Amino acid sequence: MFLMVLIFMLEFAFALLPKFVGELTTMIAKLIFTVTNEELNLRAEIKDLKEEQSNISITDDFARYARLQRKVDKLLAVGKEKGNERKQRVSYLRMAVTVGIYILHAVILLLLMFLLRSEPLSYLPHQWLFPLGNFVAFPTGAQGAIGLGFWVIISNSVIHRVRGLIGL
Amino acid sequence: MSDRAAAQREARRRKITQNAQARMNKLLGRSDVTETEDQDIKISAPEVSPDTSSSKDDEIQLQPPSPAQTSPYNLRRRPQRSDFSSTPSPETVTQKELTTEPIIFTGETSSPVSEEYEPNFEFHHNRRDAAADVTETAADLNSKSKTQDPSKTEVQPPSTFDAKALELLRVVVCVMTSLFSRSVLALGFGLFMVESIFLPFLAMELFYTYLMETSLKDVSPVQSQATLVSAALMLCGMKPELMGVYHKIMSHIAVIASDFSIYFFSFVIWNALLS
Repeated sequence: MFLMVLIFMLEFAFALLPKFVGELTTMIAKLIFTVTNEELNLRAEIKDLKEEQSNISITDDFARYARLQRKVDKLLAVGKEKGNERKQRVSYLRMAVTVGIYILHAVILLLLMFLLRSEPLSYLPHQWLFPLGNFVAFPTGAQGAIGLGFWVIISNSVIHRVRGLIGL
Repeated sequence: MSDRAAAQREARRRKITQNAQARMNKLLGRSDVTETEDQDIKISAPEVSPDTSSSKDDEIQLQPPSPAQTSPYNLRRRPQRSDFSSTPSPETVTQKELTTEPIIFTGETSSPVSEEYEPNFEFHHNRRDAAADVTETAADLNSKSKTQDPSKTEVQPPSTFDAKALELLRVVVCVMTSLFSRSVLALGFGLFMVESIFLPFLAMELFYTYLMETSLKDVSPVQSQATLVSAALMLCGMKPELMGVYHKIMSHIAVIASDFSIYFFSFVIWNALLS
């Protein structure tokens, strides 16, 4: 019975995990894609130039103002390009996290199927399961047994139905 | 000179109020004014006094204005100077237009612009009642449209179920049926002469099908989403009628499989709880 509950909770967790891909991606991105020193220097330089520009009157010293503005624009363009690169990497990471969840799910199930291929999760009187006893016992093959494969299908179906009902 | 200015002011005020009435009548869908209907306009000069404070206490009389009265171009209706105790100022005129007080004024049936005014009618107007008229007219139009199309006015019985409620009911009935099966089987009795948990489920599904076909035809079930298989079949050139049959069969199978999952899951839970 414990195994049945464990497998049900596992299926439930993997059914809900794709909803939190965004948060997971953000957490991983903060660890992997840190802001480099180059970008920090760039931001500081832009800030200094803007401060200098704010001290100049545009009517009195237009040439210098325009020169500073050009520098600021150039640095902003470089910063924007670096930001776009980072965004692209984050989106690739998001795709990788999504695929990774599904692969992890499949690997865990395959591992469990291999380990519990001949061990039933629970027993019921075999006459109760007539005429679908063999299907219920998949992959153990024992009479009256509830197999892992059948239980995974049942759990997934129940979770999907309940999610549809409550709108999760 | 001052009398002339007062008369012109009065004429201007009159024109403004007439236009307001015309706009209201356009909303109400009333026809334009004709000359023959000018004769139906009432005359009651002594009761007119828009500047007096007692006008608020006057009884509000709603007389449906004739088309002749409502036309903005009915320049015959002019307020008479002698009907007013004092010459109204433009400010009071605009204030009167903005309030919902009954606006009472007289008009003339002679030439549109003249220094002398003759009292010939009395006209009461209340914007609150006009708003009520608008709603009544809208209700009348709706009722008319309904009566014009009798085929659409068939009274349908209110449906007590919707797809969501039916879905919830199915789940509850599956759980209850599994509890019943488990209770009966534990006593050693066979259900339908055979100790199988699938026969009550089968009976339940047959009952559902009968119910859906007879009583719950109006309730549309939750549509199953089109899958890649159905898209591939369509691309292969399958006929639409055949696709419809395929969708119907697959949706039935999906619903039965889902019900069976709920039933078996709850059976296992009840078995663990009751044993």
